[in-house]
Formats: sequence, structure tokens, C-alpha cells
Amino acid sequence: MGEKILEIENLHVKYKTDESDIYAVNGLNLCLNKGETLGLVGETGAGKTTAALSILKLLPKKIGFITEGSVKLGDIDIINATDADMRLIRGDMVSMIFQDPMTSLNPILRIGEQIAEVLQIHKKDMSKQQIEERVDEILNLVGISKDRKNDYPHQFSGGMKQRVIIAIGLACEPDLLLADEPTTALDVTIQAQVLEMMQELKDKLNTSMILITHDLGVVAQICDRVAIMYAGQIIEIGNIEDIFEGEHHHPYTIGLFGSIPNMNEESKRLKPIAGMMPDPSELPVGCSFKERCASCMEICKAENPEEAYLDTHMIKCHLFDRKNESKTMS
Amino acid sequence: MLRYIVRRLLILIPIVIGISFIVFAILSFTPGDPVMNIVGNGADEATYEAKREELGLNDPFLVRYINYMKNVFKGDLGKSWNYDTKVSGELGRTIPKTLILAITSVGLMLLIGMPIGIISAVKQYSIWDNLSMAAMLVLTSMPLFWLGLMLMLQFAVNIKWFPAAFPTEGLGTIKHWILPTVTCMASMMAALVRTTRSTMLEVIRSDYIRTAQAKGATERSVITRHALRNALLPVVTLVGLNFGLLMGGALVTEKVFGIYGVGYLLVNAVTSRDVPLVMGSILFVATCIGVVNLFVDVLYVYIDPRLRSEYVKIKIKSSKKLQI
Repeated sequence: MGEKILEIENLHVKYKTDESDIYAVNGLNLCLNKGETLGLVGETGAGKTTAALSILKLLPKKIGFITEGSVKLGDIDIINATDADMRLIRGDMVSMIFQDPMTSLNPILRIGEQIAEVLQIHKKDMSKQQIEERVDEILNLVGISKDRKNDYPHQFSGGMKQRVIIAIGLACEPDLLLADEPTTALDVTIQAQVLEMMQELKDKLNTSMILITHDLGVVAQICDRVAIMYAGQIIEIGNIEDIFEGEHHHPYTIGLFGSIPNMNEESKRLKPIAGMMPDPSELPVGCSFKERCASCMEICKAENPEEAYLDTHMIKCHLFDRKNESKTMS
Repeated sequence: MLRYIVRRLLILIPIVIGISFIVFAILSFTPGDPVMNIVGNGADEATYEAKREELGLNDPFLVRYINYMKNVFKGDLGKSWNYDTKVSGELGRTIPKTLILAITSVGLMLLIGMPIGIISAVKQYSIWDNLSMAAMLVLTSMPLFWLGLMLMLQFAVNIKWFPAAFPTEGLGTIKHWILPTVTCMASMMAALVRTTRSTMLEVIRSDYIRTAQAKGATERSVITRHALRNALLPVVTLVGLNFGLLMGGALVTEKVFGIYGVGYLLVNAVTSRDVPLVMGSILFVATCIGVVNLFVDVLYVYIDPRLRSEYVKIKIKSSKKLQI
């Protein structure tokens, strides 16, 4: 195990709205080593983005709250950090690439200015000249001609905008990159280019990355480890091999993989997982997947399962609790 | 950009001519006899006819209009029928007052209203926000003349800080302008604060503001550098509209404080059916509104680069070459 860069323990995040409280993240445990890429997978509303925003404490003001748990970035305790501390971390140690390239750039500032801004904030010792050079360099890195740094975002295509956003994220060579569905808004050809580019940059700068995505293909391509999220918890986490080739899986993971069309078999329809994710404003007692689970047992209805480890592979399901017991007993 | 401005100014000419034609037609075809106003009820037939002939009222409508416009293009706005003074002179006396009132009240409105709107948006639902929203509601619901009279009663009559009456000649002193400016501003302020607040709220919630926060920018820089300029477009529109309207005279304020501005002049001219004076004022007001609108459009282009490429494609490209 290498040096840990991020440790999240028992994180709970709540959104307060007028009607009800929404429990978006419920006891999330996660750790990330230096240089590692973790894929965070799960359906819409599983709390992936919320978890990422909590790391930067960028949850919507007066609505989103971290209610419990700890987030540690190296030695820094994020939960108790002040706003001033957080500003030093954001963009420098940890940066985030947002979902929608179309709206994530300020329409009235030149892209060069937007990239330079993050350098101006964090690299106070750099001269104007140096910042300009760095902007040129980073634009070159993401494959945009430096002649275009005086252009405005509306003069770029979606894929190019995403590159600009990635350039902003990488400008200060952060230790940790949170990429929130960086390729979802892009078409497949651009997607491949952007992923390849991120992979190259990551190798070059030895950045750790959390890649949030729906796309298991993308995960298989560039991640070292995968975490499957469901209803605000990580229900399964493991190496790429554990998840994609291992024998034991959480029933939800099996369903998730089952819903990918298999090119080798003939099938008329996709196989979705029946049912819906539980309403995050009223979380059920027991396992949050019980309603949709084919192997649901009595215990699932009463108790939330513990995390069960098999080497690098963790599954949060009662099925595996018992297997462990029987293993230890025999 | 220059080409665009010149083109817009050229378009302004037919617009103003069209407005002048419509106003001239309305003045000509509304019932009532302007000559009777001038010569008085007791005048005999001969005087009446002579005056009619002198004013050219015996000519057909189109001939009168064309004669009038010919003079206008020569730079002659004619003489007031009632006062027998030059229209340009009357306008020269009134325009400075209207300009002062418009500039001071719009300036003060921006100076006070913008910060209130921004703070209300940034601290949404705070005590400050609720207080300022309530205050703005009170301001909008207050009739302008009542506010003017109350201010006058309190500050001019009771505690005598400011003079109540405006001098008939000259532009007065700063003290003369304070109460009218405040009154005039009050009516527009609420709209400005509300617009600023709501557009700021919209901008603050947008994705690029979150991007700026994720860069580690301070709240101050997020607001001033990223949010404000994006929120400015509707505000500029509103201020431009208000300023244009004020050039037509803030009639109520002018009446209450006895400032003889363009609005006052125009209303007097209309009620006494003084055609040259009405036409002169209308030409001034229409041109002003046109120019202010053009100014607003140009300002848009400076604020929002997305519009720049729409209006001035060629210019952008050539300037970029220069920069490189």
C-alpha cells in the first residue's frame, strides 16, 4: 500500500430543503493512494457528485451540510478547516473537473484568463510572464493551440471546452483530481481522446484521481480501483480485477453489469435492475438495496450490512457477512 | 464597431423623421383651434385670419409638414406660437435642467441600488435582504408626487435644510437639486435593486461560479470578477430605459419642485397646442432615446463577448491579429 492521499470515514451529507431533509451520502468510507485512479460508479442520485463536492466543501451554501464523519486530505482535516484554508486547498492540492463543459466556463472571460486565474491565486511567486508561459504550456498539453487563449468559451466546441476545464484543473498540478463525469457531455470519439489525454497527464504528473462516471467501459479503461455507490454508500469496492473478473459481487453490482448489453449473446432487450433507488428523504431500515434484491433475506430487512473484506475486495452485503463467518468457523 | 455605430446612427434618422411625422399629424388632426388660443376669444375676424395665414395654417397638412421639416434640416426649429420666442432657446433653457436631473438621479440610483441588490443576492434571505426588499416594496408603492411633497415638507419646510422652491432663472445650487434627485431616483430604485438581485441570484447559482470557487478564488473575487459582469446586462437595459425616459422629463418631479425642464415644457406646449414647441421637444426626446439605446447596445457588446462576434465579426478578427 502506498501513501494515502485521501481518507473518508463514515461521511454523512444532508441536503436541507423546505419540504424534507435529503440524505445524499450515508456513511461513506473511502481511501485513495497516491497516484491511484479510483472509479466511482453508480446510478444517478447515488451521491457521487455530493461525495466529491464534500471533499472540497463546495456543497451548496445553506442547503448542503456534512453532518457526520471525517475527510482527511493527507494530514489536513477537511471538516474542521476554515474557509481560508479551503481556498488554499481548492485548485492547488485538489481540483475538480465539472460535469458540464457548456456551462462550467465563464462566458465573458477569455479562456487564457480563466486558466491564468487559478495560477494567480495559488502561485503568488510566479511573474506575469511565467504565468503566461505556464498557460501556453498547459494549453499545449491538452491539445489546444496557444493562439486561441484570447478566445472566449463560445468560440470553442464542447470537446475543446472540456479540455479547457481539464487545463484549469491541472494548471497547478494538483495531488488529487476529482473528475465528475468528464466525458458524459462529449460524443464518443472526443470521449476517447479526452480520456486518453487525462490518462497521459495523470501518468506525467503522478496525480491521484477519482473518476465519477456511469460508464463501466471508461472505468475498465483507466481505473486502478472501482467503487460502486448505491444510495449514498459504497457497497462494493475493489481492484479492477476484483470487480470485473472476481467471483463474488454485491447483488447490485451483478445487476449493474447485467444491464450492459453483451455483444456475444443474442438478447432482445436490455436487462434493467427492477425497481427504483430508495427515496433519499426517507431511507429504509436495513439494507438500502433490499427492495430490489433477488437474494433478500430476513436480516436484510432489519440490519444494515457490515463491510466484509476479502483482501482488496470489500462488499457490503449480508450474503458475504455469513460467508465470512462460515469461513472463519471452518 | 465604428461601422456598426455609424449604421445605427443613420438608422436613427428615418426613425426620428417617422416620429416627427406621426406627432405632427396628431397635432394637426386633433380637434381644437390653436389660433384661438393665441389671439384670444374676443379677436375679430381679420386678426384671426391674419394670424392663421402667418402661422401657415391655411396650407394643406403635407405642405405644412414639409415646410416645417425643411426648416428643421436647416437647423431652424421655428418660433413658439405662444411665447413668440425661439424654440431652440426654450429647449436650451430646459435641457440642462433635465440633463442634470437625469444624470444625478441615475448616478445616485446606481451608486446606492447596485450594492444593495448585490448584497441582497449574496446574503439571500438574511435580515439585510429582507429589510431591503421590504424597503423597495415601500418605495415602489409610494406615489411619486406624495414622496416629493413629503420630502419637501420635512426637509425644506420643517427643518429647512434645503430650499423648497427652485429658482426660475439659472440652474440653482447643489442644495436645490438634492430633494428632486432623491424623489426622482426613488421611483426607479426598486426596479434596479430587484433586477440586480434576481440576476445576481441566477448567476451565483451557475456552474461557472462553482468552477471559480473550485479554483480557490475568494468570495469577493468570485462576485466582482465572475458574477457581476454576467449579471450586468439586464441592469444596463433597465438603466438605459430609465435614462431615456428621464430625457423626456421626469414630469412629476419637475412639477412638484417647480423645475422648468423638458417634461414641463412639453406638457405646457401640448396643452396650449403650441406646435413648434411640441415638435422641437419631441425631436429632442426621440433623438435622446435613440442615442441612449445605441449607447446601451454598444455597452452590451463590451460587456458580453458573445454579442461581439454577432455584431462585429470582421473587426474581431483583425484586432486579434494585432494582439498576436
